[in-house]
Amino acid sequence: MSRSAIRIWSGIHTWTSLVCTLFLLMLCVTGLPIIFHDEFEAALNPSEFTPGNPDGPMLDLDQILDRSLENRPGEVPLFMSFDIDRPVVNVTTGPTPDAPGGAMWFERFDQTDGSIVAAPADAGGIMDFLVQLHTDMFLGLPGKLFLGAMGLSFLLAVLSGVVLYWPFMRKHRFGMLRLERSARTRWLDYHNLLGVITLGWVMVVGGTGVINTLDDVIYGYWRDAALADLIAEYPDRAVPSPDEMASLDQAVTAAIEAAPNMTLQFVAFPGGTFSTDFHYAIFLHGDTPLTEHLIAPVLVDAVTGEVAGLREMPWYAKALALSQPLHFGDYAGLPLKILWALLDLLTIVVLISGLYLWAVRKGYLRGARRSSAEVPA
Amino acid sequence: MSRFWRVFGWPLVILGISLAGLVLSLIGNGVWDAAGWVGLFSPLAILVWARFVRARSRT
Repeated sequence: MSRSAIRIWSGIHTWTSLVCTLFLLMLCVTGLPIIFHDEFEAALNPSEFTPGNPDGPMLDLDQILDRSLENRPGEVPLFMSFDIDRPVVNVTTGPTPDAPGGAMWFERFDQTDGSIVAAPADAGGIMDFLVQLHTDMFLGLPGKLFLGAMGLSFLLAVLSGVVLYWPFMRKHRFGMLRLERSARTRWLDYHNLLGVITLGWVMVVGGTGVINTLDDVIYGYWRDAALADLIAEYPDRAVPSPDEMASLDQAVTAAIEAAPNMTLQFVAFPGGTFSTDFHYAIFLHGDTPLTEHLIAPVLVDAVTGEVAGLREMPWYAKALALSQPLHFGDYAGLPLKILWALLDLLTIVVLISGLYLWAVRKGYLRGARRSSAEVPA
Repeated sequence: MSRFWRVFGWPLVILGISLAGLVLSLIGNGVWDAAGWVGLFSPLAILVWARFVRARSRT
């Protein structure tokens, strides 16, 4: 590699890194506790849920829906989801069908007696705070897209770092750590070694993180493009009010019949991001470990209760669905989560050592200056 | 062995093992999950080797 090529790649590495390092540090630090949010929640909530009326018949979904609207007068239903391990139905309501996340209200209902189930303790909302900071920094869609851009800059920094690994390691054997040398050399070696061995994980978590920042955009496009033919049948009708809607319970039953070998996951009500203005979108997921991440909606006319059909998600929505487990690391038990955390810590070391090496090179830190024999990092 | 493979051989092996593990765990549970553990353990094992075996033998 020529001297000028090295200089160009080094410039790319320096600038793409400087642009994103502070945000990446924030993402790594907030991401670390979020990896263990399930364990955190379980530790804070040791008491088990007991159904109010365990031997009675379960309430049907229309009854649960009525309970939730009595509880939030004047609001409309947005989503309904189902706990896997207990008879609890979660209903999200809001002032309008297209209410933004901040205006939504989430409530849990005991399906055996319709009573409200207390929200799990969250140590003052710390986990919610971290998740919000991690996904959009409390700035909504612009914040998400900004973090996506930081992620792209980071991926570019990683790739240019791999290119620079070549001139740096050309004359050395793999795994070099010159511990007896100056702090700068030591950290340069750690930066290069940790950077190159975490490459696979970092590209997967970084790349899927960037894809996840596009979730609103992707689902919005899917709704507008792939469901357009369903909307076309309804030239000028408004989103039906809850009183006008057909039985949800029958709609869900019909949807489950229309989708064999799939499991009910959640219902999106008309007018929101996940449905059309006129349908219940009843989402089911596959029942194998791979397909359980892939969801497909059965659309049911929300007024007549007629099944409009199962709509497989297009490839870009499936890519998004598979990006989520690959970003969260929550798909292979606690050992994978621990490895996720360790690799996250190593990434923090790469980020900070990179910043340190840059500061030394610019003379901002007293200490060993770069000798001319060494390749700029 | 060419210079390219001497520099990028091990990094590519670790990259391959990590990626294979991440994807294989997604396919199933049980043994498949263990593939992911092995895949992501490989960079950590290399780090321990470089710090405590390789670096020590040099001095």
